[in-house]
Amino acid sequence: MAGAESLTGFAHFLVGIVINEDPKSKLASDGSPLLERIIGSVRGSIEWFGGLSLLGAQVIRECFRRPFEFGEVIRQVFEIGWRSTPLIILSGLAVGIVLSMHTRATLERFGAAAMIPTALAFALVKETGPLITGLLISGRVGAGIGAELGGMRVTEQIDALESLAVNSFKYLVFTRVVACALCLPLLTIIMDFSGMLGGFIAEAIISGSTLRLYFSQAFGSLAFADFIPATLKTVVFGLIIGGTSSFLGYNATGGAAGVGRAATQSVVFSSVLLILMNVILVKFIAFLFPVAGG
Amino acid sequence: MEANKKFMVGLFVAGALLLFALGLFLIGNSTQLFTKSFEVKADFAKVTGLQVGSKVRVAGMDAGAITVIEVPASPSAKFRVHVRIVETMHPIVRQDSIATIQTDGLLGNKFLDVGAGTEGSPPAPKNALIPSKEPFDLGDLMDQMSETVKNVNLLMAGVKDEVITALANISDVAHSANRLIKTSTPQVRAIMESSNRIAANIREISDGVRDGRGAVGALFNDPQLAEDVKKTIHDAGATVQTIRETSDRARSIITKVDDSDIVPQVRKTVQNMEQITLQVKAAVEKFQSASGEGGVAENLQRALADAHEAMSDLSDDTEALKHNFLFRGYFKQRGFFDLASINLPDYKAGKFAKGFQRYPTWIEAADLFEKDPKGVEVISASGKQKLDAAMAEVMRLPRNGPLIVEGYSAEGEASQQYLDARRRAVRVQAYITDRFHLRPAYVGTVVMGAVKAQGGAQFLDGIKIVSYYKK
Repeated sequence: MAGAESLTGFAHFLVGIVINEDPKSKLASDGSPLLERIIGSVRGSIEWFGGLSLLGAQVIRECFRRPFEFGEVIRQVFEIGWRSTPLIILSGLAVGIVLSMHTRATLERFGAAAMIPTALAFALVKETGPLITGLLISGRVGAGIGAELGGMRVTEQIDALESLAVNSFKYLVFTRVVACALCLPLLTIIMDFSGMLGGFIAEAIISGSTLRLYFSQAFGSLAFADFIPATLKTVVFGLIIGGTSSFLGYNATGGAAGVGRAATQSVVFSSVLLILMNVILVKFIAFLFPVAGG
Repeated sequence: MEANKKFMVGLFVAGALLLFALGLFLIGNSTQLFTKSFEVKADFAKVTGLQVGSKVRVAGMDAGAITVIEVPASPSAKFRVHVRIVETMHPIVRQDSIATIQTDGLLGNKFLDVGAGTEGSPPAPKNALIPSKEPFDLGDLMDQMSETVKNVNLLMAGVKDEVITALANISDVAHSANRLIKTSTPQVRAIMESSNRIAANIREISDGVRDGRGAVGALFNDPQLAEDVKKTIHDAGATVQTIRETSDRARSIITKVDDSDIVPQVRKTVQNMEQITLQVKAAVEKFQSASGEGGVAENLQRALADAHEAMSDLSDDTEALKHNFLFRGYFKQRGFFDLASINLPDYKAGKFAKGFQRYPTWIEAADLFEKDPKGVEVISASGKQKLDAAMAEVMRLPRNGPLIVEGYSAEGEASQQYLDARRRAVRVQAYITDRFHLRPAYVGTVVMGAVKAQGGAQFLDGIKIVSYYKK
């Protein structure tokens, strides 16, 4: 791979920033002049983004080309979606309970305890649910994809697939990216309802609220523009997690160390990109659906 | 891929999609999206934050949503709000239902409230334009308040001069009233003093009545007199009864006379009486002389005049008896004291009010009197206080004897001493009588003149109040 070396350098650079390593020392250790190394890193970064973009374009192209690999997609949905469901449900319940307690403490000061279900629903559906789901999946699935594909790359299993005339990109990368894009909204919905269920449990214990009243109040103030765009934006989160992790794993080099690095970088980059993309998406949704107010 | 995995994936996807559908249904249900509905319209000059999708409540119940807000074509036109309301609310949405834009709570979203109409109004047809009320805006209120304050300022500026003039007039009136009060104070005080005196006199009269003095007092307080009056009334009743019986008896006799031969006898008796009368007339003529002088009648008139003269002499003698040493004690026992003519030697000898206890109080003239600008001796303010203190002790004693003010003076000739002593006694008598509402008949004065103190060479100079009382 032509950009693999520069990609690795850029990855080191970003990882160093994230995990508080000094990128200068890394660059200086190569013995090259500092300015030259920085220019090289910037170039490598651009190449990295170019590679990722090409991967995304290839994924889109593969969507319309046979074989569609439904079996592998379903298998990946099982791995990514089904196996993540317990984690999402548990996390959702915990987040719902904690949010409910915090919201109650705040709203009670203003005599607005009746607004707790509404406030919790707004917080979960519009932002907390999608973002936490994305971060959890990037941690669990992104690391898995990066390590799996990285392992296959360094052990030349991907080369073996290629030698067997199997489209390794479609079989390995496309299926994972599509599965992530499919699973993230579904997991987000589960996260939203789990969070609201957790909030209801907390409210039922504290104030004795009924399930019907609680969910009626929770969804009473929500609009479609609050629920649908916020849920569907996680498709983008899924594409980011699947694409970044697959890209890093698919292009991994350096043996076992490279596999580990690919796994770590998959989590870090997908999380960072997910958060950054969330900012853009929130603004974009607010632009498209002004009633939702972002 | 084993079937179990496919089942799990199917369950995962189907479950998540079901939850998504449930969320959509709950949200749609909150805006009555999936319920049969009808639409009405309302016009507003301002929509104050109302949006498409905002809630609609009919009589406070969630009943739909705003579907369209038409922007007016000109500034004078109004926003036309299309309102979707669930069909179940149609019976109470009448043509006179009023639409108002309100806020959900203090900080909540705007919503459209459609009031329930009146019984007499027909239900609002679909796509009807119902009446609306412009929303209350805090900014409008502030504008109105600002305008009001401006108007008040203008008004105040307009009436400022009148207010200043009115205040000056009020101040003048207050000064005039103050002057009037100051001017009339002495007159008012005099009137009050007169009133006090009148009240004291009335009190004295009522005291006298209560104590049994005078006819009215006796009537109120003397049980014997009351008994006599009662007896007299009883006797009068008995007399009337007797007269009635006599009258009845006379009537009976007359009846009997009418029925008997008494009448001729009476007629004969009358004739006899006429004869007797003629004889008496002759005797009377003899009793009175023809010239009107002399005779028995004149003698009788003379005798009556003599008797009247004798009675007058008897009255004088009786008055003299009161002062006679033989009968004075009797009269004193009866509570009679002739304070107007107390005999000084007898008084000095202690013969006055025998049998009574004496309670003397001495006050020096220097402590009691002062000279006024004309040089006349009058009771000073401190002297009045001393008199009040002395009388406070005296008033605790039984009030069943006279009170004597003895006047002493040792300055000048004997005549001057007498006059000074008398003036002092009289002044003190007048003061204590008026001050303590004493009966004047029981407060007397004795002019002692120049008297040396017991066991000393100094002459007494002052007054002594001596209260006589019986325990």
